[in-house]
Amino acid sequence: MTANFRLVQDKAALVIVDMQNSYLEPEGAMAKCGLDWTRLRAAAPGCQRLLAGARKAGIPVIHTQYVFQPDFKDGGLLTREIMPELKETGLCAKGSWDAEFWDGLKPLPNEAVIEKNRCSAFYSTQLESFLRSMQIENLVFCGVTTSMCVESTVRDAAQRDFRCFVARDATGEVVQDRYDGALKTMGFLFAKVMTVNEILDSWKVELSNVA
Amino acid sequence: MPDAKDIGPLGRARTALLIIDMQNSYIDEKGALGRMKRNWKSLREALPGCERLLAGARKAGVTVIHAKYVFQADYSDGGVLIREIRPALKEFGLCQAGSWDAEIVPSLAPIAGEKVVEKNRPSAFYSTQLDSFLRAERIENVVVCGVTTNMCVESTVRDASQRDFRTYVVGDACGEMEQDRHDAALVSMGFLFARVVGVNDVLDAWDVALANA
Repeated sequence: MTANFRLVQDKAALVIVDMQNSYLEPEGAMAKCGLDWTRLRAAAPGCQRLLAGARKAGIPVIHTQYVFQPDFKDGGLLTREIMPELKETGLCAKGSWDAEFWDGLKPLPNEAVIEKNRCSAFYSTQLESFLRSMQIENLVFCGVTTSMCVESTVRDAAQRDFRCFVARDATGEVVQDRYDGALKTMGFLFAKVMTVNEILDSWKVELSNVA
Repeated sequence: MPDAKDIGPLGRARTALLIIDMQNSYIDEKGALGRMKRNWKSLREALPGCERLLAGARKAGVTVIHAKYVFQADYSDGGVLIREIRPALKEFGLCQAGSWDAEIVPSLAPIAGEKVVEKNRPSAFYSTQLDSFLRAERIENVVVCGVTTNMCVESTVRDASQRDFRTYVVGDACGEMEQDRHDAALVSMGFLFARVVGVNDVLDAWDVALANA
């Protein structure tokens, strides 16, 4: 069973979750933590196609960015007790190369950037008021990591009554089982899981020059 | 592989037991899920563990909070879930305000002094007083049990964790309709958000011996 609503271009926005050097580069913090960053990087081509499609179709784009204060005083239990190695590796420290958006997915000046210091892009951020102001009802999600920040954000979006669509081939997780589990979970109650091509088709955009 | 197992030891101090959605709707044969021919029996498997945790919390003086999924009788507050994703939940009267279906099962019925948090979304933190209640009580540690593991329990655990509560999810006092989603939920929660523990771990930490458990 999955949500049977249809994606339309009207009142839609694209939300790209945490596509930063930290997660996508061999010198990033994820790699330093010994996690399989290549599985996260695998989400990049799909995200690039969705981003190009959204720009072509005139669909608003929101980039979320995981950012901690340089001394991690806003890291809370996560960096203090649960995974101190995130602090030790400088994950997403404000002002660092690690926290920057990956080169192939840089925001344009007219695209919203939502900085967050927790998994969900809705928690303690302006994302919701931004979406309500834009009268957005339908959200397409891509990015990393599938079972952590993407899933937490999708859960929060769904219970805020946004129709949620997740691009399965434009999201990545460091282990396969949590990737599979997250897509199944999101599809059960919170979102419709689709492919990049299905989303581009529903937006009626053809991308001739995008990989 | 890093995981959340290393958060500090669990004790009684500044701790609350949060029991999620143990209502007739989910764990009684005559409840909405039973009438929908869904696997309510797997959800009922969470009941003995929840009963032991509740008895233990009461004996130890640990704060008890019951979360309860309740929709307005006409489902005007059901949102996209009821209107578009799962209209059947409305047709079967799931957790309708004032109904027997929405009541907490008799063996876990709240007693005076225990907080009941009504919610109309999966997370017990969203649009409820739970966060302000926990802060006011100076709670730092939250022990979570109930149903369903992958839906309301996990959404609540994710929210508790990102609000910086030390979160413990009691695997053998949670239930999900399918084993694979139960297992996957515990893996996801244990990776970053919570420490996955057993009922006995919690009762030991609270130093309560339950004669009749």
